[in-house]
Amino acid sequence: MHNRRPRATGEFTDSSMSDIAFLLLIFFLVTTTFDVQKGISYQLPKKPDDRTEEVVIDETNRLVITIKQWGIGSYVALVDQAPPDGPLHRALAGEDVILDDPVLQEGIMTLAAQRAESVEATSDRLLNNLEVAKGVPSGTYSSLSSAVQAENLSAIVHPGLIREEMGGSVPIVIDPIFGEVAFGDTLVLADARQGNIASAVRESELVVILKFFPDCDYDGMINALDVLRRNGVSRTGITIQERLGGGA
Amino acid sequence: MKFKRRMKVGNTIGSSTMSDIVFLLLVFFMATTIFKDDSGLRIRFPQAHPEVMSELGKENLIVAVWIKQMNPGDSQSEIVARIGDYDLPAGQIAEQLRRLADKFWREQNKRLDVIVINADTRVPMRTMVDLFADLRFEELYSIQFNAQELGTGI
Repeated sequence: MHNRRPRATGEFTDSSMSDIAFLLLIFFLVTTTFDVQKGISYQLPKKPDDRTEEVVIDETNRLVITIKQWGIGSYVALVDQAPPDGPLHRALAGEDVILDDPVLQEGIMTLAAQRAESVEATSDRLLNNLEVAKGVPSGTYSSLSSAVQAENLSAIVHPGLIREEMGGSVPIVIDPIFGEVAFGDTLVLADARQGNIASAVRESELVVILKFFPDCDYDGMINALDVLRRNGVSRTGITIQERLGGGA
Repeated sequence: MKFKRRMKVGNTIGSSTMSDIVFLLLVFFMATTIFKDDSGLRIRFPQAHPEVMSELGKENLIVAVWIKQMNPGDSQSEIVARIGDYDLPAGQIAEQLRRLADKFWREQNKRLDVIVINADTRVPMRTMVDLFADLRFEELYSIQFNAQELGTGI
């Protein structure tokens, strides 16, 4: 007796099709990256009006640097004014240095750290950010600690770059809510449901005014902002170096 | 007399045509989809260290501005700018942004959060500082200077 040969059918099995489709889907999900544009954020000063009071920045908190183009992609800085008791006052007075000069960078960082704002000032900004994030009117919470309790938030400190750079000499303050807060750290409020809700960086009160030669290119400004941000300066003014004999 | 046997009712659904349908749809959309062209200008982005850069949240309402010189590298060259699909002289950027901000507010009740500046590295600072003054005048204060991460090449 012979075994019957299997009858040929006009169909093919497609049960594995979904496996292939899912495999491809997962592969592309994992490997696809969307191009995210990143950049340096900057806040312009408010437009002066009748109610604006002119604030003169105290010379102990003011550093003025002139930036000049020195060939393609190369820039030199001249410290015009520096706080009298600070490191840049004597070290670089009247001397052109390249933007990446280690003495300039260290001087900026030291000055910025010496003028680190109090944790209370950072907390006030954080409270304001929290109210904006929650969409409640300003003044809803009497203090940060009451807001943390009322909303059941956890207070977290994210260490900043300056802490690594300066090591033991970075100014640290013990705060009742956040604990140890160093200059350049980010204070974050988070809850279990939404994650991070509001944050604020402990900034420096040092204001650096960058005066650019009119022909200096935009790349020079990004380079200068990059140097300042990496050394803990967040308050910056940008202007043009007026030509000798007047005119901007 | 013989009766015809009734056909058996199966409990499966034939799915072999599914792939035909999927491919048909795929081919249809491939053929008909038109991607919106990136309407920016060809520029050379500046570079910055990743730790000083931030990315904007999806919820932010932004407008991107592209700025470059007509002849890159020539400091006296005319400056051209583009917002969306419109080319305009650098002196009118802030005015156009104010118009857009007002339109967003009027039509969608949304506030323009950030102005993203994509400027060529060679644009002179006198143009940029003039632009900042114009933006302040129009009460547009939040800016992001787009840059590439250092070391990623141009």
